Amino acid sequence: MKKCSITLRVTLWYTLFMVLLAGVSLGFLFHAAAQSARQGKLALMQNMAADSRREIEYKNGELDIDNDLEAFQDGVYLSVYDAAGVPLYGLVPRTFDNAAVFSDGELRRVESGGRSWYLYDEAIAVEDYGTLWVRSVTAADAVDSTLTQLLHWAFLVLPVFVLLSAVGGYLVTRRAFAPVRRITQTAREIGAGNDLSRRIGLEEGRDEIHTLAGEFDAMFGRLEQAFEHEKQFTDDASHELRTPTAVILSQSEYALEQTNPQGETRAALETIHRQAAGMAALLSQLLMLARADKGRQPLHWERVDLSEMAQMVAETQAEQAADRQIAVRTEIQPGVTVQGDETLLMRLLINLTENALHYGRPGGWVRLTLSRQQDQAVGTVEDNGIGIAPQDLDKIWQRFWQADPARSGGGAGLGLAMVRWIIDAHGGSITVDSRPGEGTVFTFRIPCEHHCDL
Amino acid sequence: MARTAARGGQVIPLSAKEFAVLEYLARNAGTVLSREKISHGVWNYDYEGGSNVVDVYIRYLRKKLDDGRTPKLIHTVRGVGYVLREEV
Repeated sequence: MKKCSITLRVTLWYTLFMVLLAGVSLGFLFHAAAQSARQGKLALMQNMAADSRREIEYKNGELDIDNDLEAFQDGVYLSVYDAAGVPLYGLVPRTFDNAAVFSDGELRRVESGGRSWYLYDEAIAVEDYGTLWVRSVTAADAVDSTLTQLLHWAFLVLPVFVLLSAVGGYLVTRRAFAPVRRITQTAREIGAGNDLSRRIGLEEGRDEIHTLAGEFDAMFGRLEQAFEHEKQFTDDASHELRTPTAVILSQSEYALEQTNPQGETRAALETIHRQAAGMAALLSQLLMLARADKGRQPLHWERVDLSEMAQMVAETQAEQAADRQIAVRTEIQPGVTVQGDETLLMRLLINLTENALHYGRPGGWVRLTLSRQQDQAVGTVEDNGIGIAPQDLDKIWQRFWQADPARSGGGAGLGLAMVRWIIDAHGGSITVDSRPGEGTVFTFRIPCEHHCDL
Repeated sequence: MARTAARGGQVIPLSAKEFAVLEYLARNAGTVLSREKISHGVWNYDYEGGSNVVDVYIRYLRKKLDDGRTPKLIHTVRGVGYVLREEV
């Protein structure tokens, strides 16, 4: 029952009650009608017996039964017997065997000749003669047939009514719940995508559901605002920090070049310069991601030979990897070209290989492959390093996320967020597969002939 | 817009950013330039660039301009950066 929608449950519930109600009231009606029909017949039979009392006299030593005495009236047969049971007058139905023993003033139901009969006997005392029996008989099924017909009709009509009301009720309930489905749909879409600007947007209404939808919209609004504020803050903060960082950078550079300091002064200036450079790089990454969030990061589309680029990146990285005894291997199919932003694609390859080197093990290897599959450039960057725990796999794309904060050397945790964005901006996809302790492989796909207009 | 360089009478096609890096080196010919400086000069402090991107572009330029030719034009100054100069 929990699995059914409310609409279905409500419909089932009241359909069940409709059926019960109809059944009970029909039974009651039937019973009452049968009762009153029997009462009617009994009254008629008693009337006929009373008539016969009036019409029978004992005159001049003879029993005189008036011809006015009706032997058949409204389906009721009347017959008169002497005390010994010898029929004197009247009729009985042909199929009625008339063997029942007389019983005064009692309505009985007897089975005879395959049918049911109502039987009513009355003993009447005729002056100077003695007792006579008056028997009236009527077919019980004649009493019931009208009722049976009614019942047949009820059985035909009732299911149609129940069905109609069930279907009608289902549709009405469904309609009433339509706004709820809209709320669900919108919440689902906002949850699945990133479009916080979506609203349920029900027309004005005062009922509970419209109020709920209104509250939801207001909540979505506040959420969107909060996100906008956060983005704007990152953007503003990075902007504000950029100028002083650039000044530190250029001043420390100037001091190093022009004054040619020695010893500890030189070391101090070099540290300042190195850290300022790192900070500037971080700020420009943040700014770029902030612009990307707002869809304002421009892309310079051109034809890019991805094979050549992968080779160049691998060679460059191999020089740095050599210090850590990590071998950079390549398996690059020549001539794989895509439409894209040259520098951003280079950034993509660099970030992926740098990530692989960062988490690689000394003496291990990093493998870069590239090939064309149908209309896609498919690249993989694989390492045999420490790997990523399964529960962390979907977190690696988050900004500043780091598996082990203690290991945060350089990187600053924006590299993969950047990779994700570059792939998205090129209409591609990227997946990651990893076994802790064995290594990680990133697989990206970029459509070869993807054109601008982003 | 097609950008090219010419060396020894040979026209060498360059991408926009390759050209920009070469242009920056040429404007400061004879001066040793740090990776950061090249990056800022070409990408105007945007992260798109960055020191390792500069390394890759220098590799591109060397392959296109210097490979199989003498004298070499682009030189690495270890621990400092790059310089464009003609020296024997």
